[in-house]
Amino acid sequence: MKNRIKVARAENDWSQADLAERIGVSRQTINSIETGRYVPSTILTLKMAREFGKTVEELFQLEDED
Amino acid sequence: MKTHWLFPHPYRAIGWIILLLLGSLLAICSAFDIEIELPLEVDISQTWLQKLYETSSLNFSDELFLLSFISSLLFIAFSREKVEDEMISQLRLTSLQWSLYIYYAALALAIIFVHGLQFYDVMLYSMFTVLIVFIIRFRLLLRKYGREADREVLA
Repeated sequence: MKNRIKVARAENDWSQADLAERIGVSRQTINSIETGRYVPSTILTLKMAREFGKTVEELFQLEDED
Repeated sequence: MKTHWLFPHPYRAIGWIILLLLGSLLAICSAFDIEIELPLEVDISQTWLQKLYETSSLNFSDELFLLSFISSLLFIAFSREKVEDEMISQLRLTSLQWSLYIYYAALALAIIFVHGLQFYDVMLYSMFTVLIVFIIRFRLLLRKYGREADREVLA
């Protein structure tokens, strides 16, 4: 699964720490999601989408191997 | 995020303090060959334990030491992180799985290579293996993830 979290953060001028605080997770978690090492739960993806004012599909896309 | 079955965050520090105190006590006792017996004598003369152990009283110093040691390790291992979230929970679970594999691999080696009374020592130390390996693995993973997040900030 690929994601556009880093881009969305840049658009809002938020650091990883800013986003982490907004959705109540650690900075490590945001970093791991961005690098694709950790796949977040549905709840967390919905929270991120809400914070960015985007749909989940705009932030996360399935890849062929998924 | 709601997490179950974890101690509050400050318990980690409490665990370390108990562990350091016990560790220093153990180091002093073994360096000077001292045996500490706390006044924890329990009279068992009227109970079924008397027949089992053929004595009328038991001293609970060892038991207190072991229970404190295990509690301190449990506190260190299973206290909430400052920011506890789903990825940390997952890291905790994978570290636990990892430490169980290590524990049984080490035990399997000991079963093959250690015989006789020495195996008693193996069983004694193996009581703590899971927790100690888990703590090391989990803390190292958190540190690694933290460092990578730091690098991202600097990049």
